[in-house]
Amino acid sequence: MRRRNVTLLVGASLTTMLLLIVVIGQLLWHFGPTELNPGRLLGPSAVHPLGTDHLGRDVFARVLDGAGTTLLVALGTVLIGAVGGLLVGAVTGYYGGWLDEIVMRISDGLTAFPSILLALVVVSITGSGMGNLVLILGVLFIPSFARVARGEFRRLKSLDYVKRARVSGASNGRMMLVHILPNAMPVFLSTVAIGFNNAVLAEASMSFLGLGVQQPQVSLGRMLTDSQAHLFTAPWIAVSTGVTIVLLVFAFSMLADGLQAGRRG
Amino acid sequence: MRYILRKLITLLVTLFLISLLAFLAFAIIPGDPAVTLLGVNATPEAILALRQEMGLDRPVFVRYVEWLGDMIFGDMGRSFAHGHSVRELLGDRLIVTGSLMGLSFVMMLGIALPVGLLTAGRQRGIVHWMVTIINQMMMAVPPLFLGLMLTFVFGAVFRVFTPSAFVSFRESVGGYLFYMLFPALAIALPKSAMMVRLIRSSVREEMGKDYVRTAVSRGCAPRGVLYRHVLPNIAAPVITFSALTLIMMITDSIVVEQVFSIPGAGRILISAIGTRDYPVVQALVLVIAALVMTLHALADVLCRLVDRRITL
Repeated sequence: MRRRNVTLLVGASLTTMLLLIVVIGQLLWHFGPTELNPGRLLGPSAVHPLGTDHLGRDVFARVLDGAGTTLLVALGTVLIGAVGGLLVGAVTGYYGGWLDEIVMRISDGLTAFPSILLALVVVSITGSGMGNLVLILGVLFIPSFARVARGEFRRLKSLDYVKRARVSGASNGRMMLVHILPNAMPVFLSTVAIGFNNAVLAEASMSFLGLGVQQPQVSLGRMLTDSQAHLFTAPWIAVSTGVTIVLLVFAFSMLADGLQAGRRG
Repeated sequence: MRYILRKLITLLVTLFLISLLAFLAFAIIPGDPAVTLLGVNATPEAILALRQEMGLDRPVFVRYVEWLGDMIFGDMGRSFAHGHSVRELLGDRLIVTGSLMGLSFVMMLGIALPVGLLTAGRQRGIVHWMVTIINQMMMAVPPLFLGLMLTFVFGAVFRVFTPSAFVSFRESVGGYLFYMLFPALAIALPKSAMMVRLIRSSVREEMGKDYVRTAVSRGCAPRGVLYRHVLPNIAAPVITFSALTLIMMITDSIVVEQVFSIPGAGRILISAIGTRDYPVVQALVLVIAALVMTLHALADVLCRLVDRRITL
């Protein structure tokens, strides 16, 4: 009998739930994230379930908006990282040779450093902002995806079924796309979930330091910066923002663990 | 010995490449430091004079060699924004950040090793679930949020310490260490959860291996097998993880310094990035790179010393 994968179940349902709340909540919630209400720094109440901030803005609306931005940054980052990583990993893993050697050396060098640290240095040259943040983090995430894709492509290309396809005259492109890629996906997917996890954390840290998403836009990291000034008078702002980050990270990491466990059977 | 020597040479070559990158990246970007320093309204003569004084009129390569030479002898140049020498600017701040990382690391080991080793033998039942759930939650808490919560709980509710009233170690070492306790905890807690998880999963994997079954069937007590045979075999991954964690703590302390307003290297890095104070950024990049590379190399060497299965 197959044991049920509790981790995957929890991770997948929590992730879906959070995404739905963020997307639908922004459409339905009766306060706008920039709408100024009469009461400033109000505690949680029936009208404002998470209270209001120093300008009287509804914290729940802002958390939804901020989480939306953070998830958008994470989506962009993971998209660039995963597509780039898949391309690089597929080519180097499938063909091998000197190109593989060079690319892997470079990615070894890059992964030696925490990506936030590299992002900080790059931001000091390019300047901050949401677009730059997504681009920089995305490119910095490529090596970690490439490594996984490369490993899978290397492993699968020497399996019998792929060799059989080669004997039947399949082209390199067909072998990679039709025969190897689908089988590399399960492993790659769990890396994608980890990528989301890391991207959310990276966005929060970078924006908190003032080097990510900039002023009129809200993100979870930016909100934490703003909440710091009112930590003692209105702790609910920091708490609701922080708990949102924790929930997102928790959901993604459970999803990643679940996908990984499911692979082992 | 040959292995260590080879490692050392790779380390130096890598550092050399990084220094080249760090210098060139800041040399080729648009924007003239002299203009930044004097403002856009400065007269061309003044800018020219300053460029000459700063040595910006000479070829990039000459400047790089000079800069690297100075760096090696501990002269890190002059900050654009502060006018002080970078070395003076960084000295105490590096000590602050270094001690924050050190304290967090010790704290992490102090929490993770006892918890991990004591619960390693229990891979099912209530203890297992409690540890797993608390761990999973703790791992998801970023140090930045944990720092804010610790400030609120211990600074506002219990009033154990005064938030953002940093005590320099030059004034009082005790006061300094006490203040650093909270930021260190913010960094250490999530990391110790990760370490407990690593210890427990490594033990679980190792316990399923043949040699453990053999030992148990020969009549060794399972507990004895765990401590005498299994633990030495999981030392290598734990050491590697410790080095990686110490490296990750660099970013954590940059963030946490901001939360607790600690005047450390992280804060000056952020402000230097904001004001485009390149000499400071370059110097810090090099210091951090050296630290990161050294830690990686050290972990490799230690693993080989501890675990004889990894050949030298």
